[in-house]
Amino acid sequence: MKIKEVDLAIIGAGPAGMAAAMSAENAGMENILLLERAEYLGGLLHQCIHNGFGLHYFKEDLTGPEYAERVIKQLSGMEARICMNTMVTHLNPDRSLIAINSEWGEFKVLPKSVILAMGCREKSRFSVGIPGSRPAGVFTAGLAQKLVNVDGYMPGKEFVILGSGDIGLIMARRLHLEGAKIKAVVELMPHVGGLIRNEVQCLNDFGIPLLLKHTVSEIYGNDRVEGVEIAQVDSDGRVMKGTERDVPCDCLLLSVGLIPENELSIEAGIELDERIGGPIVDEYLQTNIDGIFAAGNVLQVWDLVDNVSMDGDKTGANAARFVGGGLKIKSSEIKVITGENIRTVTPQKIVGGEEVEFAVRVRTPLQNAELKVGQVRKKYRVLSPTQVIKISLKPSEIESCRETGRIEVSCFEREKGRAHD
Amino acid sequence: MTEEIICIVCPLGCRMNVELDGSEVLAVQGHQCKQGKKHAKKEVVFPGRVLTTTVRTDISEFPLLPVRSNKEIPKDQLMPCMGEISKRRVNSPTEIGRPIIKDILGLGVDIIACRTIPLRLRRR
Repeated sequence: MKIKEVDLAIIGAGPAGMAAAMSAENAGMENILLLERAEYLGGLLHQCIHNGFGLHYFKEDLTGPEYAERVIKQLSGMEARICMNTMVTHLNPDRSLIAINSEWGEFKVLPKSVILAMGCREKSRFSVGIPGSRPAGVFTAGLAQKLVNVDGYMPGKEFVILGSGDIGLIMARRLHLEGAKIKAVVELMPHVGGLIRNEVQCLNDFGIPLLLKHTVSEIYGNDRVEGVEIAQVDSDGRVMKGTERDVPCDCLLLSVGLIPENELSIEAGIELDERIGGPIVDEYLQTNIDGIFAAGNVLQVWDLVDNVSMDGDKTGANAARFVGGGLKIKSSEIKVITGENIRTVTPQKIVGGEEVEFAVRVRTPLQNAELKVGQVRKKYRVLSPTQVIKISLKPSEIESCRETGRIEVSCFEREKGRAHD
Repeated sequence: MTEEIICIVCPLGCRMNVELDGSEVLAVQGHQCKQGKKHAKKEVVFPGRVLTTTVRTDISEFPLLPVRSNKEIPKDQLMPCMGEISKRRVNSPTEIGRPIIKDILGLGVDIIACRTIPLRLRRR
């Protein structure tokens, strides 16, 4: 078996992996290997033909393919070795990995550091357990997006979309523009799942109905979807008897969430955060295995690709520091506690003495909110579960928590009388 | 008269109230940044959208070319533009940014390519 010794191996050449490769090279790393299972760079950006990408990272409003091409062109001027059509099949606790492609066959990589950038995948019908027959015409929204935007096929004529996540909303508009009829976007929660921008521009603009606190309770049809049953749900998400009604359609799209893709991480013994599905990391985005970092949607499903690229930037620079012996770890570690109204926080632990950037998701929408991280408080007019909030703490603000070994992140609505203090 | 606009400039989604006298904007409330205020003013006077879609090609590896409008299109002209774009086919390699349809429907807006096909990696 061929053996490749490298300073850094990056698994996945989507926006996170590409940014990581460039950032590591800019930090002085020389021997970088970028492994990608597809035959092209850029990952899912190619099928996301809508705009709204890059507002923070490039300070420009780009479509997915434009964002991808911009990054690909930057990367193509660099030294990092890129292996396309290459599947990583195993990742070991000693950081070594096994991959396979048609040029080298099965080969072993011995990297001094690894960046996980495998991204995420869609939940399926079976993750949400919709009863009924199993006809053709049930698609995940992202698959339908690839069919419509890359391959040039329409998966149906009349659609019901379950889930109001961003992909679901964007597909509602896309299919409407291509002449399909969207009967309804159905959302279990009492609020829309995707960004508000998408609710406004994808549904409101075209009068596409949004049914909150509803679900699809059955799928009809033998060879092909003939319709679905839609019902209201109670506060626990259970179908309310007597509210069911049939909606004829030939296609059901599922936009019911994304899961970080961590099969390789699990095999290597990397600890995952059960709420997020991604590795538990410190502020350097390093996992519990020294020298293995995680960036982008493999770590947590981000709201914006800009944040994915920024993760890539961070991990690339940190991997370079790790290999150069410059990553300073303190002897005592601070545990990050998920407090009131907080769904998820990364990093889950603080191990160094530098500035720390937290990425926080709240549990429910909050107005006149105050986010509290340790002793630091920050006010927000509105906080929504659809966005990731980033907040940075200075070393001095972290240091006060070292004695107790814990720092809590919490969020609450300010009392009325104090709203403008 | 006031109109409520949900801001789409960033994921914050500020709810803004725009006070109007005819088509003259008197005041904007509820915004948190300059772009938000600008958006609210524009949205009440000219609700425009960037149109993103695809054009069929005769190149077998890339059956579709992603395209966008280079400027915003009035909301009510999006569907007519889709009809116009569906008539077009691309049959040769294309550079990102190249106009595929110039001045679509006389709106003064071009439909431009969002990627280069085929994209060859430049390696040292």
